[in-house]
Amino acid sequence: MSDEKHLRDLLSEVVPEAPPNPSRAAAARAYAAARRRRRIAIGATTAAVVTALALPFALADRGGEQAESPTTGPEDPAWRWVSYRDVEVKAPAAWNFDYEALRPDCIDRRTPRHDPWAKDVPRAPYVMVGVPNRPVLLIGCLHDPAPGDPDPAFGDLPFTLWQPFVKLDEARPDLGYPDRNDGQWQYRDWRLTRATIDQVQITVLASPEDPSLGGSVLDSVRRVETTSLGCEPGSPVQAQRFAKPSGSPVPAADQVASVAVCEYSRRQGHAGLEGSRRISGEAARDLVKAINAAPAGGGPDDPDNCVDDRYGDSAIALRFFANPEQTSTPLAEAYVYYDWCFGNGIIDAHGKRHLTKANCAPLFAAPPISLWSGQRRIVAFCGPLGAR
Amino acid sequence: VSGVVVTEQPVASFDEFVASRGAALWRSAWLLTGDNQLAEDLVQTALGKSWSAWDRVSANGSFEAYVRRVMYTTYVAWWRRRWNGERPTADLPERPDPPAPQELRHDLVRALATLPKGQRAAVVLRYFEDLSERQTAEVLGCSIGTVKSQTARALAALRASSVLRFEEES
Repeated sequence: MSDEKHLRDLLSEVVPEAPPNPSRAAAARAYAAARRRRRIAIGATTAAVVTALALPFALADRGGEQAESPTTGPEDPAWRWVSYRDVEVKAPAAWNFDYEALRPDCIDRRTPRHDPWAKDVPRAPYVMVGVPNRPVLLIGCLHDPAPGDPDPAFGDLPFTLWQPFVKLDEARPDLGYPDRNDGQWQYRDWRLTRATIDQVQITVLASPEDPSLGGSVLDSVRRVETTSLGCEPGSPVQAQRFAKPSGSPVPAADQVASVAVCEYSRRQGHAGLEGSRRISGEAARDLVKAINAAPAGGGPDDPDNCVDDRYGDSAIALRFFANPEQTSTPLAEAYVYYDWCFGNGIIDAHGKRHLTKANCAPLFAAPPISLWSGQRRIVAFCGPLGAR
Repeated sequence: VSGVVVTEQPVASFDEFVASRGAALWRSAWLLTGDNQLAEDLVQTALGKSWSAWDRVSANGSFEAYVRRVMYTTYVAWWRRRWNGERPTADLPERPDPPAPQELRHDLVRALATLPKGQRAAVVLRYFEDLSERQTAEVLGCSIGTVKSQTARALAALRASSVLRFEEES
């Protein structure tokens, strides 16, 4: 007997009889009706989203004019600009940056608040931008779908742990994940809105207390050549090999009023601006002093841990400004490499300096820029890991 | 707007189709998923997706082929997204009165579970549904060459398991 014939016989033998299900046809019709309703709803909201986005983009493209500078004109103090790549949106100013839970699928549905997997779930409304070097646990926790579960677009976080958020991340249609599709969904008066602008996906979860949040955020979308914090959407630092800035070296501390800290993904095909922060005043001057005081030459390096032709997944560009509100034409730039076994250090137009606790830790002191992994000695200077 | 189209569909004839062919669809779905409830979900999803085409497709008698195509493509796409190729096989579905030795079923279900979704779909279509390579390619929306390579790889993998050695050893 051939393998194929044998397999035919085996398949027929082992497959069980179908359990009786008189409601199968009715359930299929209900599914079809729900599917049709959702398609109509998404169609309507998609049209609205496209209209909302078309206006700011049309203005930005008009006759080569730049988008309006965020430092000009009246700004509502209740909102602030949040950047990712070349896209900015307004998010509630009172919301802090935070990171979504790493494995929401592993949280016990019966006692979600007390589950150890829920420890990293944000407990307040938050803003999140891409996280280029966050490790992902290669495990998965499967749970049975239950009647009344929210649409998969909402993700796996149990409903009782939801917090409203605004998230900017890299669009990845190639992944095909149901929780990354564009559209609009509703569950118990919570509204989820997702829209993609070229390579950037914007996600807004609005609570019943502020159902219009998604519309407000998407209405504010604009594209920029320099972000409101003074970062550029792309930088030489995101190249696969190490780069050296041109122009002036890091200035003296008393010339600096503010430093833009711009973190870039360097992963091939996914490179660009991720998180950004602004350090101002005395903290900025302390940072500059620490950079200038660091020993010449790079490091710390651990070449024994190296793999050929790898240069790390993320790096930081520092832009030094004389004016606290300034966002363009910095006094100087420096590139910070910390994500690999060699080449680490701070490089400016004159040379390279050693990473120290004083010149590295401030860069990772708060989200949205965090150190999630690294060589032991880098972590000692720049840590803690995964700072919230 | 929503839902009003439901009453415009030929409910009775659709119900008759599901009543007569639902169990057969479920058996194929079970071989794809290895789980009673997931098989039911897959069948209902395929029927739900196909129902709007009932008028158009059932007239020429090809509605079952249409549903099967939807079911298999849904399976490949759905499981790729939702389960990412991983299914726990330690806890096998429980059923009364097994039609085959438990050990055999256990081995076969476990071996099938190790196959990538495209290979598993090709195996069920070719060796359970008894479709030709051309028909299998039409259902899966791929080339005949892909069907050949998928089934060849699947058979090679199954040969490495205890399943296709079962007869020689018994």
